[in-house]
Amino acid sequence: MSGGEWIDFQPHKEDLAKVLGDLEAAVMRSVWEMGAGDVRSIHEHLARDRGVAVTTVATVLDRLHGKGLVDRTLMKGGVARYEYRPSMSREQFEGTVVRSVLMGLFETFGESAFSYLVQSAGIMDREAAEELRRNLERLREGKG
Amino acid sequence: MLDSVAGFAAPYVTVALAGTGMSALVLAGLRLVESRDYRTRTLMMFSPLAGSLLLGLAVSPSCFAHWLQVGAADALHLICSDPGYAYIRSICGSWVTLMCASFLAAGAVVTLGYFLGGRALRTWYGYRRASDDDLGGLREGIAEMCEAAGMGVPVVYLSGSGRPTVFSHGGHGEPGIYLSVGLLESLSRDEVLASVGHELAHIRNRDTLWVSAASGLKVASAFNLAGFLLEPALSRDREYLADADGAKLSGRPYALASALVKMAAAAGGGAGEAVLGGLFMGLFAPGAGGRGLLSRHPPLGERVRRLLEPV
Repeated sequence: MSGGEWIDFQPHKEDLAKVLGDLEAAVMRSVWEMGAGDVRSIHEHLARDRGVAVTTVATVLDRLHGKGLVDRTLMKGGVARYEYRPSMSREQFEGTVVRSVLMGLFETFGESAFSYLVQSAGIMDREAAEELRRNLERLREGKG
Repeated sequence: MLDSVAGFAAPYVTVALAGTGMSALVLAGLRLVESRDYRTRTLMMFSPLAGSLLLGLAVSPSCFAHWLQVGAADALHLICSDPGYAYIRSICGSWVTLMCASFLAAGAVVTLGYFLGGRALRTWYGYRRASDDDLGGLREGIAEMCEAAGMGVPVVYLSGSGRPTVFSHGGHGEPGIYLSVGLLESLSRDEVLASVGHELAHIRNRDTLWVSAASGLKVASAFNLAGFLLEPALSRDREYLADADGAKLSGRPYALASALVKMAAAAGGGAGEAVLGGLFMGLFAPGAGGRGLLSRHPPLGERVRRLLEPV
């Protein structure tokens, strides 16, 4: 389930919280920064910025695993525990979000959404506008 | 005509009111008297549930006989043979329907909760027998607690879920304790053993039987509306008892309190947890079967207070 089915876009929220829950976003950031880790190490990393119970982190990681955003492997030695790692880079994640949100906008608002994006290109620099144009063409051709 | 209907319905209304009244009185009494003798309280709560069922059964035979048209010899039902009072049959029909539906539902509740509970857990949630590697030395600690309690060591099952959960089932078949990887990786060794101690206490106290029987009686005597508050109250008391006995068994009351707080922080209250909390004995299942008077688990703060207060 990593094709963007989990995206619940909330434009008024900040950063990753636009598409994930607040805690999910915080845990995802930690997992990306760490690369891999078990629940306790991710909890320690997260606890530098916010007070959260280790069991809450375990529950959130389980949910992120269900969404296909993290992979996990059962570790050997000691009690059973998982090593969690991101199933996609932050860049791939952002690409998935943008693609999913834009496709949703095009499906619902069609030409209006396309026109707005073309107008927006006018206030961008030349290179960014060209990149946007290419992406839009790809989307319209269904190559996503 | 109204007098006739009222007279005919009177036994059923009386039974419903008597059952509800008995249950409400016991509930109110137990709320006023804050006793920690959980075993006596269990018996007191069980009595009106069983009593309601007996009352219901006592007024049913003539009604069933009339409804099945196999003859109703009692004076009350003589009126039924008068064609002018044919509508009376609908009262019998309602009672028969209520009793049949209640008994079928109660049978399902007891079958699923007591007889099939362990198998259902393993099938629905993918539990497997935990290996020594999975438990990383916890098995010795569990065996020590069982020896101290004078009970056999239950089978320990493990699910791959990353959510911290712990349940037990001590009904039909081998008793089992059900842990998740999420529990083992997020609680300390002491907290896990304290949680397991709580579950061992459930098994030793035969709580699956008590709660399944109370649930069955509650559903079988559905006309006793206060029974729907009594059964969760009985479940809450069994949780307090398992807290107290489990803390003694593991010798870790602080770790159990800490585990409770951590589990509460993780509780999501999803559909799965609601189902589990209703059928099996779990350490903490907020939202399982309702909140407040309908909750099967006591409030977290009160549980921690009772655990930590000096004996």
